[in-house]
Amino acid sequence: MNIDHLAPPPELPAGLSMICRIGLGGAGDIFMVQDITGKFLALKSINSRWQQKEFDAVSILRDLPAHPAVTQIYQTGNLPDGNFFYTMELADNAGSENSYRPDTLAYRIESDRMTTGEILSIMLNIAYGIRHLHDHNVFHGDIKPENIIFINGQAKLSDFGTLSADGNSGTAGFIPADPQSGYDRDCYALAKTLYCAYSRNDAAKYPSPPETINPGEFKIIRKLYITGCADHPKKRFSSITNLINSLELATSRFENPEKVPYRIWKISIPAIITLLIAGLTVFFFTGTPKKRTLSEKSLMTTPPDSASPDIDQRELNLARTLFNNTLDYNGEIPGLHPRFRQIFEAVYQTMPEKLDNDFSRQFRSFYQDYECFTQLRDRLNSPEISDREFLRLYNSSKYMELYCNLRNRSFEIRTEQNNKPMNQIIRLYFANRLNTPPQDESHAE
Amino acid sequence: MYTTRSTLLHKLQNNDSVGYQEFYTVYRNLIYSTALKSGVPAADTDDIIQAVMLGIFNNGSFLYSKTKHGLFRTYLGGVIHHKICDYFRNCPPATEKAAPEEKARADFEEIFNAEYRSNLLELAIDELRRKVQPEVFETFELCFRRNLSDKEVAMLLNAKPNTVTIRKKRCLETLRTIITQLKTADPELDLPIL
Repeated sequence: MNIDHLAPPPELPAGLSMICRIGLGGAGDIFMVQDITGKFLALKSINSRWQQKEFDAVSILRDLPAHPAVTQIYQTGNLPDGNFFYTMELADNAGSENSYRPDTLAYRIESDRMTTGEILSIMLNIAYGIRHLHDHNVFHGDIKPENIIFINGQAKLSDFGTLSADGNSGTAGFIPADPQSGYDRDCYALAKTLYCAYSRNDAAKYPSPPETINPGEFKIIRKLYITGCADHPKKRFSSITNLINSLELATSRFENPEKVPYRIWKISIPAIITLLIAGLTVFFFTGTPKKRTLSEKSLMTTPPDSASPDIDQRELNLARTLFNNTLDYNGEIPGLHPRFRQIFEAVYQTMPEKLDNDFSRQFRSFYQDYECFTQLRDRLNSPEISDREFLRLYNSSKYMELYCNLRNRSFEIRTEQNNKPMNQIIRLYFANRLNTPPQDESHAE
Repeated sequence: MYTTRSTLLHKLQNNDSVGYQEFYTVYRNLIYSTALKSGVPAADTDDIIQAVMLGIFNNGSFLYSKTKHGLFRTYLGGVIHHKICDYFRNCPPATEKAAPEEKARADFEEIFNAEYRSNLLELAIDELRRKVQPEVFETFELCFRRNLSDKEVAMLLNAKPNTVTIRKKRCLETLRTIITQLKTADPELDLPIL
């Protein structure tokens, strides 16, 4: 669609040159511009009505550390016509060489060019981006296929006009009937986005299944979106971490379809037992076997480790990817000062009697488990470890289960304790000025 | 209740922009398919939709009133028919000889009523979607619209075949209630009995 005739493009500040208009939004227009280094960027010019809201959202976003799944904002300012603007990364071109069309998830759904595996990987990536926002108590507020763009092939969250600390926004069809919090809204919207991407249906058509159904894939994906979009808030994912855990589990199930599902085991175990009984009966009735020759014996011995089959490269890649995503986890409780642990330890060492017993036990147990986890992570991250050893240790230690469990617990501690004991610890700390001071006391909570 | 979607019409008479959008979403497909089946080429159906919307929302205000125009279905059918006639007046079909006006009108009514009925059934199914649990609606879709057996549906939804049977029964009951209401509101439309 040619939209250049709608209104003259605005005058740009020095250093930016206009290429063309690429989009129209409720809050303003989006243009493709080029900076003095030759890099192409997207410039969003905000209408006066929405300026304050967008300005606040962009300010919040710029306070956060960068994340690979969140579109980066480069420059902000006012255009000569007075409108607020900002430049950001430009989405890949999904159109032809002469006409630019942003590569969004909505476009990919429309053009029907994604496999289920790709959809899961995109959703997982976006979920990491949402977790990054939630870890800083910020909510996107308008997650939908149109707001997921691809930059150099990687899915990223964009359109931060609704970014806020309360999360009271969204698009019809992507908001739960009774939203509990910003966390809940974002999780619900991501689950609905997954539904749209998988079924190629509009959000209003939920829960109609896709036109063509592959039973194995359908079962894996359906479970995710049915849980994520459940009517009752308690049945939905309680946090983005829970959703990520389920997405990771679904990805690993999808990547390893050879794993026998529980139901098949349920059917096959009685059959195996029957066969064993039959085999033993035949053995006892036909007498003991002949003595084997030495050469036969040597054939029957367990092969040495070197002769065991090669490791599954796909399994290794998946394990490595999942493992790499856990490297930045530092045991922080979301919403608390990073040094809260030192404050807690200082209070616990000097006046344990003033702390609630259950709370202290819960906290100490969490930190002990975190220590075990970091030791295991260091071993897995060691440069000397071979691929085979990595995979063995990764699987035998149930590394991802440990990780997911820790993240869930950190959220549970935060939710269950409802801040009261934490505030008490911080008050005690400041009242007594204990030995291990945090560097920035003004941000103790 | 569903025939004219009275809440929607009320919103429209108050010049509510959400109502306009909703009206477009609800009736767009009906106008499109009626125009297509009346012989308007697919490339020009958007023009008909636009003309009908302009005819119904003259100068941005919603013109329909029950006391003045009668049943909404008849009013909407009349507007669509006029716009299609206008279209053929401006671009007459080159090959076929134009049918006498009375016959053309009767043909149009038949097409429009059939399309209206199927549009209404789609709306009834949307109503069902809102009224039952997602798992129940999935069962309905898979059993009745994809023609899968109870066993296949049970396997897909990880449910027991008995549960599938119960869900199907619940869906049919709800849909029957909705259709009964529709029939009461517009008995002439001759909706199917479930």
